[in-house]
Amino acid sequence: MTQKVETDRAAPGLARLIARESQLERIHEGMSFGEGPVWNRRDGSFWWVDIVGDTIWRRPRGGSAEVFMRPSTHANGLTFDREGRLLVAGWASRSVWRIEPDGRRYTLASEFGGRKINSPNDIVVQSNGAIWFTDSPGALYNPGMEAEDLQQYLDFQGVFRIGPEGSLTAPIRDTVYPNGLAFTPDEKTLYVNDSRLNEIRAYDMRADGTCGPMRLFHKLEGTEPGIADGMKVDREGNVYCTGPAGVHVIGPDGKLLGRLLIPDHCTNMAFGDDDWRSLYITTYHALYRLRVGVPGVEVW
Amino acid sequence: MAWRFERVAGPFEGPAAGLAWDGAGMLFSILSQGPRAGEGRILRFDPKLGETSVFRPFTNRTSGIAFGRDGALYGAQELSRRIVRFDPDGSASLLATHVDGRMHNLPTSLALDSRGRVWFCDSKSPLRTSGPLIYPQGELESVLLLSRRPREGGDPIWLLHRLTSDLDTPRALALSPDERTLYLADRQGLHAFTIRDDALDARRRLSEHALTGLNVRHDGCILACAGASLLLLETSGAVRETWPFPGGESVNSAFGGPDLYVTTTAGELWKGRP
Repeated sequence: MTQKVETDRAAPGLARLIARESQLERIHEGMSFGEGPVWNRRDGSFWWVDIVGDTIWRRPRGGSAEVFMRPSTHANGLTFDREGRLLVAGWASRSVWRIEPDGRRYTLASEFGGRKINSPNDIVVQSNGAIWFTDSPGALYNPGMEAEDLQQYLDFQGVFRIGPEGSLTAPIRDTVYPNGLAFTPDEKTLYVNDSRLNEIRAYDMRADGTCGPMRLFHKLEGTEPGIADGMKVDREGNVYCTGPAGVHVIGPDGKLLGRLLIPDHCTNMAFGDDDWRSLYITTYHALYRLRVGVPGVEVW
Repeated sequence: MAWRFERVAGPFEGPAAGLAWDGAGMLFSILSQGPRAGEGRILRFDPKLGETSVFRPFTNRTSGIAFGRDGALYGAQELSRRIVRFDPDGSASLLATHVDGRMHNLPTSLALDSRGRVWFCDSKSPLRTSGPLIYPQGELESVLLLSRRPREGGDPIWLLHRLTSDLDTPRALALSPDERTLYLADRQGLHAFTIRDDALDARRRLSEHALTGLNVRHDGCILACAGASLLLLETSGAVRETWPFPGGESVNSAFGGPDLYVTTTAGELWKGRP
């Protein structure tokens, strides 16, 4: 199924990113809560999850979707590290883990200061190998996707960093419900969105792996269903963030370029295909693809 | 009989709701729905020290609370649409949330019986529950029963049954001392159901009073919260005594030692003595 992409609140710069004749192609459906999309540059496969359906899905190049893992600890965000291993924001497992080449699961982070972390939501890898993930508490509170232990132990809901040497730190602690996160192409700034506040925050990166104080980058517009959830950045620094009505495209200056109106409730997105010019979008129930004008920041 | 009440704790950040006596202190829940997920907590008042401490943080609007014979505290966690067990080791666990293939609505009040079963009332609510809205609320307003069934080679599993489905915004529920009667308060008043094994017989309407909290005494009389008054009701529903309550809008009550404790919409805990 394909359909023309509708947009609104468009500024002049949007047409260069999203052509007016762009088609939204539905390439998979039937999930309960799609999330975690990521393109694997090594073999041209595409990956995503169904959190409620407790499944990690994989779609090989030219093939159709197949189950990679079920149950999956209600896995949420996915990405790849520099060695090509699948990294998983493990949501109901209250941990971040990766798949080793032999298929085993290896836990990278599950406690901070002797306490269980909340429920890792989304995840990104920096060029130096550091892994950053948001630690919202959704698996402790959201019906239908619960962790085994429902108690929140940390007194903050922030963003964690796993250093290249494996140490776990919490550089950001002032978020309410941190969700999507993405670096600018030069990695000088980390964007973190907050689902409860429906805003995107910017943090300047320091060389030691800490962050500067929060700057408000953008407040999402609209009253339609949809929240700040998944977020990605293209090579020119434009930010793509889920929000009311669909996907909001925001310029590097923090101003809205326009909104893509997506059928069904949008949850996340990922750039993919060999030229990184396809935007894959997950919704509660389906996976869509859309060709765009500017390639996305590549995943390792 | 005149009671003397004094405020012993609060006001806190949200309305106070359920209570449970742990043998030496009174636990009481604080409701809150601020911007932060999981808000709300259960506090503990120690009458010997006159101090209040945090028993459990991040309770996500847990309203009714009650101890089970296993020593765990059970709570009606409204914003997560579930009964949750706060285990003595500090963890919290899920029982069962689906009945007839659907997730139930928002639980508000619960009671534990001597067999470890959990009776609770469940209603529709305009409250914004946690997470994505992928499980729409149903139309039924019910009394539900959680019971454990042994499982070969594993821990017992919790089963959930619907016992009634024609209530009008149920808010409070309590068991008689002999566990043969279930009392329930909804917008239509106070009702009594005769319990027969795992079922409820036809209900009797005992009173038209709008009540928020029900607390059954050892002698079977029902102490009910009715705004700025506390009512002592016979098992027939007849009002035996009316006590003015000086703490504003009462929410619920529980006995602890010789004292009666009352929670309020202003987020306070009051203690009364005859």
